[in-house]
Amino acid sequence: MAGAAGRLLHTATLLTAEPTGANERAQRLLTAALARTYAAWDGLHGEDPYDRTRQELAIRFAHEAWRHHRPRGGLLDPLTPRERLVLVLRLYEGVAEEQTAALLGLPVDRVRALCNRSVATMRGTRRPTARRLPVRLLGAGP
Amino acid sequence: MSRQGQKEEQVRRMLDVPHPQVPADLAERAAEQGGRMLRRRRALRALVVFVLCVAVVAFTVWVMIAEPWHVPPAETTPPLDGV
Repeated sequence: MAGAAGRLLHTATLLTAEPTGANERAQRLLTAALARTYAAWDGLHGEDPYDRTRQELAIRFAHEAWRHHRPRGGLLDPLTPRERLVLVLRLYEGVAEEQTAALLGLPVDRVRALCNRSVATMRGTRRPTARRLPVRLLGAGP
Repeated sequence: MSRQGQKEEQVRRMLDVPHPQVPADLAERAAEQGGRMLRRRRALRALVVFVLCVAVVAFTVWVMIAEPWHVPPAETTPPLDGV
């Protein structure tokens, strides 16, 4: 389970876009996801606890995505929270397109588009998606 | 491998950096939090069952006392006309 915890914490850290050394939010996210898996342990019925925890992690992150807009110095800083979520689930965790779509409640086409867009952004062939910046930054200029 | 596949592979390698250190007490905290969640859920379920039982008992007692299936005796006498 120690290896799985490390992998899940890495996933959470990628999602919250925190630097590897200072991933307080990711730790909170993972603790909450593990706690939910623990509470649901008797009702798993053969479901893989790792998959379940990853699912809890993704759902929890999706719910509080608006809190993770600000760049924090992590690897996936250029992406929006939703792009991060799709990229990490699809490429790092290797979740199938259909499963990702079902988990996030999105059409499969949309998941594919988000994934392609995130890949292009990370490779530097596409400008990062515009974010809702604070008003004073928009007005700044000579 | 398709072009898109190659691009995805490139990003996948980018994500494959060494894992962060897992704090020693993380699992413990998670178990504690999960246990609390479980206890709260059980307590809530027990409360719901208790309230339902009380409701059933109260209804039964009321039915025994009031016997609502009997038609109450008429309180007004119909007017006597044309006798």
